[in-house]
Amino acid sequence: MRILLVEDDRSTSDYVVRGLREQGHVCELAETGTDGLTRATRDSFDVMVVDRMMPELDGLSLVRALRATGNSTPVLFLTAVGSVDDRVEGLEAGADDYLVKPFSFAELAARVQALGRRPPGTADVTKLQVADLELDLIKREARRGGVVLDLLPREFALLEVLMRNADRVVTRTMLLEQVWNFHFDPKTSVVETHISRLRAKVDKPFDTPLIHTVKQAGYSLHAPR
Amino acid sequence: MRRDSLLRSSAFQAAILVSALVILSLTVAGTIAYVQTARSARALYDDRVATLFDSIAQAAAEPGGRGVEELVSTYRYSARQDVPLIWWQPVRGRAMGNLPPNIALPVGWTTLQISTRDGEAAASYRVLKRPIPGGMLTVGRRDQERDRIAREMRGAIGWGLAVALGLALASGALVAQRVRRRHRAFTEAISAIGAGDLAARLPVSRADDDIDRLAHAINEALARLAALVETMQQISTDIAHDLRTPLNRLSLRIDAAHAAAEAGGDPRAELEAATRDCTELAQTFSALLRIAQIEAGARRARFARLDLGPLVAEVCDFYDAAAEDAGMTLSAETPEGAAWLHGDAELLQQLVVNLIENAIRHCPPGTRITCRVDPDPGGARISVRDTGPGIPEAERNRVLRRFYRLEKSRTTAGTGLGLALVQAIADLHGATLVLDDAAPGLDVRLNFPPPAKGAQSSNAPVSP
Repeated sequence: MRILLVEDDRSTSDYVVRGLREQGHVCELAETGTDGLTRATRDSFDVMVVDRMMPELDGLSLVRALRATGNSTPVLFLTAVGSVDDRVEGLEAGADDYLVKPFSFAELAARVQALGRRPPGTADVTKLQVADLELDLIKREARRGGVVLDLLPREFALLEVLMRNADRVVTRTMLLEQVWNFHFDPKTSVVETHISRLRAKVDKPFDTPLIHTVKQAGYSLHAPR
Repeated sequence: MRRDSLLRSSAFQAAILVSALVILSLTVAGTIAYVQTARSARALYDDRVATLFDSIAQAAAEPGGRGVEELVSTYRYSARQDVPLIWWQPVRGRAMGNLPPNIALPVGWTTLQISTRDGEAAASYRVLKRPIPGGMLTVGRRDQERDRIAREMRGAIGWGLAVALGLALASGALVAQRVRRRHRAFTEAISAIGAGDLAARLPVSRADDDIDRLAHAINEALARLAALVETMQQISTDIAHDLRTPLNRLSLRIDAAHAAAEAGGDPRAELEAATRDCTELAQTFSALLRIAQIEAGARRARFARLDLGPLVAEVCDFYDAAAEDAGMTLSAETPEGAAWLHGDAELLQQLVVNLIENAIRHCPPGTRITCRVDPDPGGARISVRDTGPGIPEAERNRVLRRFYRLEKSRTTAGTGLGLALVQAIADLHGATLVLDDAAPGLDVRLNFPPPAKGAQSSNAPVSP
């Protein structure tokens, strides 16, 4: 993917750019808000990662200006810890996701991936399928190998998020946000507990596991490679 | 110098103005009273003069009665003190009477100032001169009452005005003094505050007047300000104090990883531990700042109407697996109807999460944890109750403070900020927080105010 990073702090940007390039993305850097805005409107990117605090033009104003021109490139905000209203403010300005510093690179990478995918019609899909696992979103029913799985509503929601992000890494924080709408950090080990419950129902009775743990990052649902 | 400032006092000037108006109206009223009284007194005396006139005229007109001359003589030589004026000018004959010479009177009513006897002071007479058959008759009576009334009225009004003026000045000075004293007390208190003494407060009298209410409002604002400043100072102290140790530990771990790598070993275990330490540090820091912001009331602007039942049910749904893994049971009791309150969904989630995490962390396997929501017209209620070891009564107040850990919990994981955050969130929502003995176990109860209060933000129900 083509990613634009707008960040004035050298140490952070060095680290992030290198990490993203190692993952195979094309990553460009703008070190001020104005430069970022220019590049975003001139070239096209799949995802933008924007720091909130910057000299000249700050992140919030940059996103507002971008949206005002009709540009709908997905934006991930980076912000320092402790700004309580920032998330809502950022989303209202037009950002799509939000990450608090300090963050782990795996978290950033997973969210960038998730933002970058916009295959058409994902929102309206009624069925999801990976290997022999099927999810009927209308009937709220999961089947594997033709057998109906007995899932609790939250287990279904958890599986749905994993399947919508099939082949990609979903971090524990992302799951907390999307399945339970928690935007703070309860002990993420609880997420592990839920995943293991899910595994007991979705993977254990069958031959091939679909839910995989990605070390240091999160989880990923995909057919075995 | 003192009098100068008294004159400049706005209270004094106001008092003078009011007094001037009062005196003016008193004067007007007094004048009206005087004029009316004088007028009716005059009417009374004129009546007496007319009666005398008529009786003389009538007696003179009676056939066989005494003539006018005889009647005039009678009156003229009356020994009475109150001698009437009388003058008879017949058509034919000599004039007679006791009017002093050289006084020409017009026909009709006149007021005359003369003295009838030598050595006497001039008095006021009311005189009537009219023609009767046979000549011109003039009759007059002394208006002494009228004189006296006029004198007395003038005296009374004069004294009244003088007293009023005196009272006005005195009360003006008194009021102004009182106001100036208060003013000075206020100025002193505010100077003290400006100089940095945040404990200073404006003085409040028992009168509970509008100035007192203003002082109360300012004092409340000052108290909030002082609390804010204290919180900020507390945060700095906390951060310096309590993040130092984990930071130190982190530094040591990285050193250890370094050393392991140098020695040709595998630093990964140490680095993973270091990462965990970092995460924990960030969480502590974030929690501290969150508490500070909550205490500063920054989030009240985003309050919305929400139903506590589903919120608590969702958190319990999330944690029941974790509880089960720890050998405990977690259940939610939510009401049929809605339990409305006005608040911040995310903060309330955090509150319930902290209480549940606390219970899971501090209770042994086999504990039953129950989250209960009660709707109530007096305000929604939450109770998180466990059957664990509970908190000794002596410690119950202290556990709400930042970083406080019960002695026996010192070794368990956690930042020690969980309950402090719960308290801060409760305060922000205007809720009361009570730690009670569940016999056995701990019962944490929160009572929220009903949502009717403080509905400034949107009323759209928010599902968390």
